Amino acid sequence: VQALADASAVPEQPTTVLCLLQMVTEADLLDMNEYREILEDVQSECTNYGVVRSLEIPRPSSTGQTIPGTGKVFVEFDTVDQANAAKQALEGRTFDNRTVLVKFMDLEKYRQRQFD
Amino acid sequence: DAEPAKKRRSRWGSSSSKVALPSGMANASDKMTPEQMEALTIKLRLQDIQRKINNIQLAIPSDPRDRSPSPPPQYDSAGKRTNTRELRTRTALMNTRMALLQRVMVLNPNFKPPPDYKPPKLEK
Repeated sequence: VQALADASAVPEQPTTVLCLLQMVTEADLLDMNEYREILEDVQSECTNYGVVRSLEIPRPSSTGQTIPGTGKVFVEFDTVDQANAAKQALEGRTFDNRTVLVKFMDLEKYRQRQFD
Repeated sequence: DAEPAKKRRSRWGSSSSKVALPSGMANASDKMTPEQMEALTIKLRLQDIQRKINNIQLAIPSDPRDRSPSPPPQYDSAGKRTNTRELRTRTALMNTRMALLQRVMVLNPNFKPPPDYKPPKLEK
């Protein structure tokens, strides 16, 4: 796959924020109970690798308006090392039977909620 | 003396079923459709499962603390145990494999399943 070859050629710069993909579907997020459980599962697992400073799981709006970052999970750790450890441990694990992908995200972009 | 509330099962899969992904997978997803990306990760997972089916020890955590409790033993009429850890692990892998094959066939209608794939029986 060409896209994969292109992407792996550029080394990733580790940051304190992880962006996790393929974890949640819009249907999961719309259900308040599911959403709460997902938050809990992510929080408790990520705490094994460091201090979770903040956690964002954008939810789709009920009016059908597109919300940036829907379907992604963002986790801010205290240090780059913690984020790196979590990335190593979580990438390739399953969440709800889907394989989780993880990338680092720029802290400034995260703080400004530029989720796309 | 009420039983303590049963702990809800986490959505996270066990770390023993973690699959090695090539670096840059998450970045590559920007250039693929979600369906393509899911099909690609399932393909990697299927390869990993095949490797474990061929060598079942790879799928059994070496530290006993990482294994879930075993059910009571069952034996066939010849007195041979039918639910050894290896057999249970293999069945679980085969079931996961079938579920992943089913999913990949939805994602990619051109996908040719392996000859031993059996479509799920539809219940009336």
